[in-house]
Amino acid sequence: MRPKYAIIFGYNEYAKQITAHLESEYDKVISYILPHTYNRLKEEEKKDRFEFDLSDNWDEIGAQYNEDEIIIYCALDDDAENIFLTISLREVFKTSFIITLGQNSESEDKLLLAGASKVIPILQTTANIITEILEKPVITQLLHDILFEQSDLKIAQITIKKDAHIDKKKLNDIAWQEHYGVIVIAVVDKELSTSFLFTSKGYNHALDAGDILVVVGYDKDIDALELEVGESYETYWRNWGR
Amino acid sequence: MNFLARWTVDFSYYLRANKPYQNIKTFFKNLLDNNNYPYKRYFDMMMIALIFTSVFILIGEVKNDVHEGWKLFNDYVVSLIFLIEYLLRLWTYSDNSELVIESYEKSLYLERPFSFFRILRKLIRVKLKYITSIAAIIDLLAIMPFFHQLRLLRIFILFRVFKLFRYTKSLQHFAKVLAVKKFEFVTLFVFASIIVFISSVLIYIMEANNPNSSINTLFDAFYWSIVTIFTVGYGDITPATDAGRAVAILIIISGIGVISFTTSIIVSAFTEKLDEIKESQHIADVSKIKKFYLVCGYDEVSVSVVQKLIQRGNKVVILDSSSEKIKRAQSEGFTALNLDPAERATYHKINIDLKRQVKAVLCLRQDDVANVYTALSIRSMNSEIKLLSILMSINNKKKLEAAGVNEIVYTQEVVGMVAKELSGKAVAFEAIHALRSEHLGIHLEELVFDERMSEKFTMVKEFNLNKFRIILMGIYKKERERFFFNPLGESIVDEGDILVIMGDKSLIKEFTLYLHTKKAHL
Repeated sequence: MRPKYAIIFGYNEYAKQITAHLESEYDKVISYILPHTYNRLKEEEKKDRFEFDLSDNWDEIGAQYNEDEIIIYCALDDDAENIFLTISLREVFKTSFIITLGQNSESEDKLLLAGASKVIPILQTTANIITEILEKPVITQLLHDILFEQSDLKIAQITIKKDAHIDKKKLNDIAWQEHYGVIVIAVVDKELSTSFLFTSKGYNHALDAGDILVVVGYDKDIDALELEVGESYETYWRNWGR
Repeated sequence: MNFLARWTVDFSYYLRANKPYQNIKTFFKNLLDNNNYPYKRYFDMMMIALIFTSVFILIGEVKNDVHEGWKLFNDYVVSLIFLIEYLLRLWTYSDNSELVIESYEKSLYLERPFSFFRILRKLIRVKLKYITSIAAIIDLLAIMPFFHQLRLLRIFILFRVFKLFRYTKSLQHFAKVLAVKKFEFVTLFVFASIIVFISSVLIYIMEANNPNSSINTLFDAFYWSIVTIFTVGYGDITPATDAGRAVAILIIISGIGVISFTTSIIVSAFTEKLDEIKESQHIADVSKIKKFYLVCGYDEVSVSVVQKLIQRGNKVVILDSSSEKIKRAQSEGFTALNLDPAERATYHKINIDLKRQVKAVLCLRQDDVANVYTALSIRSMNSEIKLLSILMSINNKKKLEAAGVNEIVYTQEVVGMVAKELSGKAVAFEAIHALRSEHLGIHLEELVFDERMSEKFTMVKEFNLNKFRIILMGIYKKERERFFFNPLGESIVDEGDILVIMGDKSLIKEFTLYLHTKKAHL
């Protein structure tokens, strides 16, 4: 089940940008803000925004949401606070997807130990982007357009449905580029669901229902392929081991 | 204005306007004095080789018969080269035509007559200043063997060794460091001279008339004083009287003072100048790097960016006005200079050609004001160079754009986008992330389709992609600024296109080689 609500902890520039990008994706984006910032908000700014303190009793917040209906972002300024917040949230929301911001790789490890499902290391992410802009400008633009859907090109993950005509066929036996107009960049085997089989590594993988294809292509081509071979609903992250 | 004055002025204007003359003069000036001139190194090496050849011939002559050819080479060829060098240095030391023109225009402005003899005196004074400099005197003495066949005067060849100061930077640094302590050395010299003078006179008075003493002349006394004060003490001459020994005690104690004082002056001079020497060495090294990224500011983001760029085989130079940060960068093994990247003077000091040497300038300080200032400084010097800056507050985005920054990276926005992508298509995102990080051996690379390739290939189907297990994601047509996704076999490839390919790192290398040579390596 895809979550309905995104809950964001923190009210800094990162949190504001996350909120801005998520508003179109979820029914509601809810913010939890530390008291010293919350108290500075005007009354009209307090809609869907609540006060919280790291020393709060988290059971109260836990009781308000169904853990399968929410996705959580921890975006406090300080790594130590984010670690404390992640541990507290994980105790209450055992299965929710928790994405936490960390300054660097060192804090990434600690945050994963604290129970984060995914960490966005700010410094590394910025450094990667800068290096790519300088060294691979065309690829940077391409990936940016694909990932953030700023052109007709997009990346999609399609789970092969049962009885699809490609079920049991070999990956390289299908003319993806000529017939479907898409490029299959990787496959995730349903039995080995923790790593990618990159097509350019040369594995001629036998496709099974439940395998996930990671494809790049134009909107209409991907939709057509999905209709033909994909399950009715887009694969969600929970099927994907961390 | 008399004839001579008019002729001098006309000739000076002629020389100033004469391009070949100016070019030749600039060439020799660079060759002799500009440490950043690429050919100076070779010239210096040639001169050093000549100096050592000269000295070896001199040593060889002492006990052996040296071939006549070598003697002629030493006396005439080497000396002639040194003479030419001396004259070239004298010529390039000052610009006479400029001095004449400057003086003439000043006379016109002040409405006073232009005197030929006044300007002649001025020109001679300037040249004399060079001729009487220590370096020029050494140069002149080094030429002396050319004029003298007398054996004693051949010792002048040793002056050629002093010329090494001109051609080796470390010796120049050594001389510069010691020059800083000129006052201390003069004081020490005066002190030692007085002690030597007093003790020489005293020992002469005490010992000269004593038949048991070996000190018979004032020169013996002077020699003994020098040998004793510098704590050498050969023992060939020793005082024979009690009074003489008393003088010896005085001079030995003074000698300890002189030696320790000299040592401490040299050590302290080096300690004080060590950072400066290192810095000037770093600057010299930087100006020689052919292509590099210039990182302005060494904050947290810079560390990761610099590491990544170096991993990809790039050269990086860091500038920061904080000496602490620069020390940290240097301890990480990076090339870093303690200079303010926002100051134009910095770029003159490090003597780099922004257009030719710098791939891109990265403003990575965690401060928008500093980044805008740096970007403007760079842009005012070069309008084409690629400028990238991080943005700390979205309110300042327009200011960075106005400062001419080509690429702005706003970390918060990037994180926001990543957060969105992670929430929707985690698997796809992870696949892209794996490709970007290149951890799994699969790379996404850009390949410029150059002239050589375009002579051999015209269509995608000729690339033999399956053989190299390469996936051609698309072709970026530079002229049309458009990306063509998934080009099929019949698609045309033109020179200058950028191929975006995905594949195993080693196979990408093979594929690139194949496109260059059209020889299959599999």
